[in-house]
Amino acid sequence: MNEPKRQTITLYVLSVLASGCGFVSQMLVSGYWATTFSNDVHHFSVNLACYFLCMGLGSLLFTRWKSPDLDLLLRLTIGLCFWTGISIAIVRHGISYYGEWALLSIGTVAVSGLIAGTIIPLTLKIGEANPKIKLSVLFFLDYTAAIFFTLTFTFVFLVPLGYGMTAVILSAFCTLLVAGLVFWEKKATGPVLIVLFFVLLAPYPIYHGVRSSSAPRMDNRGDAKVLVNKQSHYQKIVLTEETSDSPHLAGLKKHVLYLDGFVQFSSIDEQGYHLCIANIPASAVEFMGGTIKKALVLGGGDGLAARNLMGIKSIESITNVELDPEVISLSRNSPIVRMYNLDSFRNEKVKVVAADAFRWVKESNETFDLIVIDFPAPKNIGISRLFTAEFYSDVFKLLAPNGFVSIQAGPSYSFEDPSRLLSRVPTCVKDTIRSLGFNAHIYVNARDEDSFVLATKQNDFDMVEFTQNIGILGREGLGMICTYNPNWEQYEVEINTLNTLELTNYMRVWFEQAGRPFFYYRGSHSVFLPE
Amino acid sequence: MKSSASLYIAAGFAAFSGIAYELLLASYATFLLGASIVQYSLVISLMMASMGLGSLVSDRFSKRPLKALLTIESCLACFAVFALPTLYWVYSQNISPHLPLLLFVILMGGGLGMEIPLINTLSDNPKGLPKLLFWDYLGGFIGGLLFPLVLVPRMGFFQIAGLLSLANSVTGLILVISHRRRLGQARYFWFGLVVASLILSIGYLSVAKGLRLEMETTLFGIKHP
Repeated sequence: MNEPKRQTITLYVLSVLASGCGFVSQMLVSGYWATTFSNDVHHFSVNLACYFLCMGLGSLLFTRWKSPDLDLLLRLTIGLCFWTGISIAIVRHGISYYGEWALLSIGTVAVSGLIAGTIIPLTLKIGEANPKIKLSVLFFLDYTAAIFFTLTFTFVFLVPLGYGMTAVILSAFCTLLVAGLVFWEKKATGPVLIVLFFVLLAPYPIYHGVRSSSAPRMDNRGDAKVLVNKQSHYQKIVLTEETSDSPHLAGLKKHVLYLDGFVQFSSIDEQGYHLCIANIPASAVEFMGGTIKKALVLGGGDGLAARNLMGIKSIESITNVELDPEVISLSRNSPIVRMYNLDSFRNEKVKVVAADAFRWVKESNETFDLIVIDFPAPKNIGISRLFTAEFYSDVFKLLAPNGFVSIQAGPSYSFEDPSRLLSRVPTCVKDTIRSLGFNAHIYVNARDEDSFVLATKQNDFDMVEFTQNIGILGREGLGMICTYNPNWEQYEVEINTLNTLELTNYMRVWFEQAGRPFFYYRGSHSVFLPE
Repeated sequence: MKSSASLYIAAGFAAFSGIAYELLLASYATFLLGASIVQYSLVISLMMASMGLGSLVSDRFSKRPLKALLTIESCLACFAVFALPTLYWVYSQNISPHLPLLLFVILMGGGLGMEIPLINTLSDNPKGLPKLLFWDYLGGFIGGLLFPLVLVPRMGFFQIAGLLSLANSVTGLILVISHRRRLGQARYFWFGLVVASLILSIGYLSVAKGLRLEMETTLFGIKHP
């Protein structure tokens, strides 16, 4: 093969490797950060912006080299491969120690961007005497590499292997190809081979070491025993046995299920929560003279809402739609979870469906007397979609005329005036439902300050009369668990639609007002971090 | 304005709107379809692949780069105006918005990919590429920061699309004014095209919020206070 042809292939392949590797590295770090801290738009955009800026700086930096050669390009590409291989390890280790420190992810993508940015101008400079090296072809190859690498590494490897191992495999793949080019160009000297060998093998033990090392922060869960630690397609599932630090129940053992580091249920106080979300709307149906035969639970993959509904005598069937098959499997098979959900997912009346509730509701044409919506708090845009007017519009199409819907509506605690005022989060959920012309009211779990919205199509339903009737008006008796107060003051809020997802902003403001970083609310031990 | 300065500004604007379009479509796809990391990866990588194709196709217009650029800026301004209302309408009809999303990503990505190679061809300075790339990446940086920190918190997505459409129209205006001599007799036609896209962008931007509210009410029965 003649020299110009060999040079053309080498330069284009190196350029493709560097762009693909740099771009996917940036996507992996952004994805890891967004998964950990649940702020998709913000993290993806800021990281992408910094990556582009550093690419720009990198392209200017190249002018420092007066006569760049192929060796320099090879060295830079090998450096980028190594950095990619250890990038998730760096971010993971940093999060374990420092929490949400944005410079960690920005710094990591910045290094990738700086190196990747030098590649196009360097390639053009090295191949300036070669008419086959063209800017438009380089752009084409680089952009095509970006899609090929992204589709391969984020869709093929990411789900089964997780972020860390995907970065390690991407690094190894690119290093092997660079090694091939090194041999092809007859540049395989001893020191070069040692460096290549190191770059090929070092990222895995580094990532493994970081993954298995224990982090110093445990958020007051000092003696927690991890019973289940599983990364599903959708989230990190962790089941622990812990000692209660509550002043009234100090020293008591409890089981806690965490999804992506957030508490899904804690065995010590889940009963109050599920009484609010399942039994209160059931009482409302009966209060209005209806009978519950068919119930629908959206979310509630732990089977605890279904457990409470099973106690209703008239009930004939419960459909439970949960996104994550791994959570369903845990609830169906784990002896500990079964002990709490009383085998609800094995009960013949309960039909468990593994599906995206958003889509399932759109496609279903059944009618239900009671619908329980038990999703996590709307901490990111993915979950906020499940609190939109468009979604509720589909949900109410499935509700019988005299049926009721109860919705987990986020934190009720308002930082301005907690004694009188409700936070914007449940107010937004309630107003969103009212914007569709339905009757909706907020009530709260008095112990945890979780809020719920009770909604119906019946305009003659009187919440004060109902809550007085069942004894939850005020904070006495049953009101100590679940309470309603008609005098709660509420903010003026925007409604939550697919075009705005205002609720995510209200939730973000709530976290900021709490005066503690978002990270405080999720487990920060490395076991809770995504793989 | 010096023609090289106008090209750097055009490169910055092009990159600003380019990254903001990527984030806008990726975010809107997540809003409509969920699974944020999948949507972001898919939209951004598909858009980059389309940009690659656009870059390759740009070679065919190397003899008339200015006219090609002005056409692209006007088309992008037009696509930006129609993209979100179309996707929302399709979604409301219980049709999967994947196909129109793909169409907009490919069309807009293709146009965006042609911009920098064409601006480079238009440049009289053969050694100005690193500087052009710097402005390109700087524009990308500003777009990437402004999108989550300023645009999303202060404006709705429909309005952001209007603003980006305006950025494309203004880029066209800068190019047509600074390089009018190259257009010869046809300068009035190209000037007219750019002004038409400017009117479309400003007109859409002024009704964007009202349009969204109207669509939400008509398509889903949502009553706004």
